[in-house]
Amino acid sequence: MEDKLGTDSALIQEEYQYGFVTQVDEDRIPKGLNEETIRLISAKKGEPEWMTEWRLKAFRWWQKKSEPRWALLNYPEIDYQDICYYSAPKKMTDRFKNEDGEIDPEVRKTFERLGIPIDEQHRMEGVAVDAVFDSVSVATTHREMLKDMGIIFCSISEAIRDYPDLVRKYLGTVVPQTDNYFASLNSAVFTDGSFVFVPKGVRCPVELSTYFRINSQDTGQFERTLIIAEEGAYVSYLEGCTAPMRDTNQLHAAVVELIALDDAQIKYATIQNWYAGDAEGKGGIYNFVTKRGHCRGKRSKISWTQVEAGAAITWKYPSCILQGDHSVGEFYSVAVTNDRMQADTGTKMIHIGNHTRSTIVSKGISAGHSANTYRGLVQVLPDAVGCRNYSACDSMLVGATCTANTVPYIQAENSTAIIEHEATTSKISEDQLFYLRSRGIDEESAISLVVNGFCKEVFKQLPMEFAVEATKLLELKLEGSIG
Amino acid sequence: MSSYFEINELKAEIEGKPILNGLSLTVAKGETHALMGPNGSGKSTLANVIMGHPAYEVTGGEILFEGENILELDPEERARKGLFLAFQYPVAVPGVTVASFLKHAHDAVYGEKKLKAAEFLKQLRADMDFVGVDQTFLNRYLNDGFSGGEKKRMEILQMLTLRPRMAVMDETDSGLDIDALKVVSMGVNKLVGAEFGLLVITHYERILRYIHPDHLHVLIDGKVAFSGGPELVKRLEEEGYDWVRNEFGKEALMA
Amino acid sequence: MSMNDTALAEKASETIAGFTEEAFSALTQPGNPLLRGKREEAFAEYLRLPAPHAFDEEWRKTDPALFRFDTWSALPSAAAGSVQPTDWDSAFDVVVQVDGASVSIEDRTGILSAGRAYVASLFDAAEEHPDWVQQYLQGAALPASTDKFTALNGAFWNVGIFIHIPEGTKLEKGIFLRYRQRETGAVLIPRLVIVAESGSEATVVEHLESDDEVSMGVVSARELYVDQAARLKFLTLQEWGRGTYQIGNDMAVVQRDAQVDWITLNLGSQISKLKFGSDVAGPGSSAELDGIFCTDTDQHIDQTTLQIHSAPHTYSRLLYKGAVMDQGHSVYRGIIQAKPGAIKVDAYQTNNNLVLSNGAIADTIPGLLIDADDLKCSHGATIGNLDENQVFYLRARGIPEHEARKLLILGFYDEILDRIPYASIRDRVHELLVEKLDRVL
Repeated sequence: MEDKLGTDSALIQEEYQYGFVTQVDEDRIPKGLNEETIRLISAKKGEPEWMTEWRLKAFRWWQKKSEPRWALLNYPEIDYQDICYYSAPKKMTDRFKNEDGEIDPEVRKTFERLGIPIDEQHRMEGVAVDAVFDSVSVATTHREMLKDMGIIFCSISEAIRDYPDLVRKYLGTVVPQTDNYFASLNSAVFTDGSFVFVPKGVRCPVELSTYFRINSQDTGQFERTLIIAEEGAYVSYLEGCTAPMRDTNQLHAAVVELIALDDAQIKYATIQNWYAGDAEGKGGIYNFVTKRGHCRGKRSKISWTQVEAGAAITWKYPSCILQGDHSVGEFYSVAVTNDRMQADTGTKMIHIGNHTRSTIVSKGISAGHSANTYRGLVQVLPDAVGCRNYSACDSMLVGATCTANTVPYIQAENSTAIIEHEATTSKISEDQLFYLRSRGIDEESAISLVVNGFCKEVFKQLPMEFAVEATKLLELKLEGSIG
Repeated sequence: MSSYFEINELKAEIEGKPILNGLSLTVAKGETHALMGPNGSGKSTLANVIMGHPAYEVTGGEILFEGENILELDPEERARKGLFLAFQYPVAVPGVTVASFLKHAHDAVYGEKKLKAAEFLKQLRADMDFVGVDQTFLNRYLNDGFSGGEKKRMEILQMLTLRPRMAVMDETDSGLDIDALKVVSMGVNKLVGAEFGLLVITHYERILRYIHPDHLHVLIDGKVAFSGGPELVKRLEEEGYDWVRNEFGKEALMA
Repeated sequence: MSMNDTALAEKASETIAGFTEEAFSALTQPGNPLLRGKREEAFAEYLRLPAPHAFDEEWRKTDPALFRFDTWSALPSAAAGSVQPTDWDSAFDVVVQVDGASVSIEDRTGILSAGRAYVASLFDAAEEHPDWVQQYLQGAALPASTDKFTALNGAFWNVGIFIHIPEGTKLEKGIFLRYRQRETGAVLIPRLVIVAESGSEATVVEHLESDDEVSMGVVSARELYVDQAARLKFLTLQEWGRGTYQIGNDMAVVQRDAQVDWITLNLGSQISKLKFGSDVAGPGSSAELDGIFCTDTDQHIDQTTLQIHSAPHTYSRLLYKGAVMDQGHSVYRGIIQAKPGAIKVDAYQTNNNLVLSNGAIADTIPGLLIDADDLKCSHGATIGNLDENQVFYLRARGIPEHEARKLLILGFYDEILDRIPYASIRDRVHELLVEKLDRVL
């Protein structure tokens, strides 16, 4: 056993195939966080004064607060002064000065190795990609075609520069700078992220996708994404994340804001595969993320789908504020934890408008010594008439040393609300495994079949290629977890 | 003199969608009428509107029972007037036993003329025997976990218990086997008489072998498209429904 | 789950108004040494433990500041002859009347004198059976370290009752505890210890009453011990008046092959913050927990149930049903916890809520905390109003609308009322519910 799990690097590489480091010249600022750091980041990005002030407001609030500790998560104190808040491939910084600037060939190779082509020549059919490497956005494909339709898809830095009015109108309106500790930190120091604007009546014909990559050591990644769908618009957005394997923990604190006006629809899918640390819990990403969608308009719809398979610590509750009458919120989640991973994730559905509906489907799979918690809130406000929620939260235990928790909060203040919540926790079914094995299927494949069946409801929400990737990811994650 | 039960130019909609578009139909005292029509023609809507289901909005016309327009009455007031609906899909009411429910309903409908508990129970037990509902059902929760046949028998048992003067049966025959259908028909026929009006809504001609209508109506698109008296019923018995199908197309009956 | 140590230390210095060092020394002089020792142990915990605050997870929905201990200072005292026998008494072997702080025990069927059960005040029990009191008072079910109010109860209890059912004894009728409080300004602090020795079977019923005009606080604690293969049925009908504010913490420990059936009927009081549950601690043990609640006017009832599985091959089932009306607010928090090694566990929890008025609030927080594998746990929670199709169905049978709604609401509660083992109590609960519903519907 010892030998098998020893330090054979090839084996570990296989376990986490995205764990390599790219050698690039970095433009880094010194570690530590104070007002000067924020001014420096803002200056490096050539931001207008209002943006700098916006960041500083967030920072001043953050300084007065302390980290929330109510989640069922155990991790040592984070030293926020021991983190580098800005790192970019050197060649990239030039790119902001010159539209035709070259992408660092090493960075390009990194994304190729990850299966993410970032050149217009090699772009994927039907998917427009924005690739973020450490602190900055590297490339955005399909730009021209989208531009013709009036769709803006670019990095948030570019948006602040090129579409300041849109950014000022919407940034922080769903997740204010003072929302919570991590969101506020993000507001102060965010370095890049994606910006999407789909104008009235336009249906975005391709999947928009952002790929986040942490490369640099001791760097925090703080991306910020803002998606706006105007009246009747539709957009589907995908996000993927990886990071190299390192012995030390790295902080990732992102904020995503979605805004859907009347009859608009936004689908947001995430496949999160940050490095999770080794089997003993050494290293891995701390993933503290605030994602929130605002169904501002009537009959608007926001769907979150997430496959959370990585990160040492996950603290993440993609939520919907259902303000417009007849608006719809959905949350589909698979969270798989193994080894020493800890995840505390779920959603919030806040019913403000009349006849608003929400659906929550959460599947947690715990293996190894991991801890996996679903935490959710469904709230129907007193004046919200005719609201409905249905939640199903199932947990599957694989092995004897893991933990699975379910902590839903449900509050109704209107007599016309109908809320149903169901949750189960059970061991992976011996009967099912036995049945499959009696038909000649080996144990690992049987587990994978059963687990995939368990997650089907969520996977079918994903676009095909992502669903395939998610299935493979799950198999990889659970390899060797029974025995 | 006005007739016994009369529907005039009835229009009704649900969630803004018109279903009944000026339906008229009259049942005289002592008569049995059958109403047939394809799915979506408005049969169940008619049944629900007659009984006053709050989800349906009446947008025109009237329903007269013994000369009084009942459209403004609450469902319970209609029941107390002697109107009865045998539901197509009786809902389960967990927590409320059959015995307690029937006593409540009996007391509400009969008011001061209600029977004493012991007497009521005696009659109820006799009625249960008649429709073949086991006595153990008295302590079961209403329709909860009942099979389709048990639910339909329960509807007929309620009809016998409340002894209405005008009953509407909404596809009571659907999903019943022949034995159950016979029991149901036997129960209904016990009430049929000079003081009783009956409207049988059905999809199949089968039930009409056991409950003999005096009149037949065919409902299409929320209106009575075709009606006939005893001579049509006779033709029906002799020729079956083929001629109706020929007249109105297959969909008319077997949609 | 780490608590900031400095914050903990800061809170610990807080005492609850009236429950100070001086009050404690006045209470324990001189007293039975066994009881005094237990009280001192509890008082030390009471001083150490943090006082609850509205920002604590457990108290988020019920601000502890709502309990005005500063306005209740007196110890309850007996109003002579105020407790009259009721016609319920004949259904029981033993009737215990608690009036103010005075306890009277009536051995109706002679089981006490025959040694088939032992029921006494804690003061008497400490003299007569010190070994039992030593083992079970503040024992494994409810140590003083549980929380601030449990420790307060342990230090300051002013009514103590000890019930012991000897091995293999089966009580035909059961034991009835009737608490009748009529003194304004007092804090009643009852401690109840029930021990069902192996193979015994018994039913214990509590009935809690006070007049609406009586302003009082209650800090209660009950510990139940169900030994091997014993079966204990325990029922509490809580119909405190609207001037009563109650905090309670109860726990049953159930040993191998034993079972506890526990029904809580929370209909009274102005504000209640109650926590109760079972630890199925021996293989083959089981717990059936049922409860109803119904809030109207501005009543606030906050309940936490615990289904703890600390042994393998254990079973627990819980059903909690409630309706909120007017400006009433109910909170239900359910926790199923499977401890490491607790394999082959079956645990079920269901909470159904009816919100019958706009402005009434139902909160439900069902939770599963699982630290073992090879088990089946589930919870379900619903919030809704009556099914309008059911209402229509009943109206179509001539039942007036308010009557139909009442029937349906009573039907909603029926499966729990059905489990109440005494007709007199079932009728009383029915009557209380009808009173509430008639007022609102």
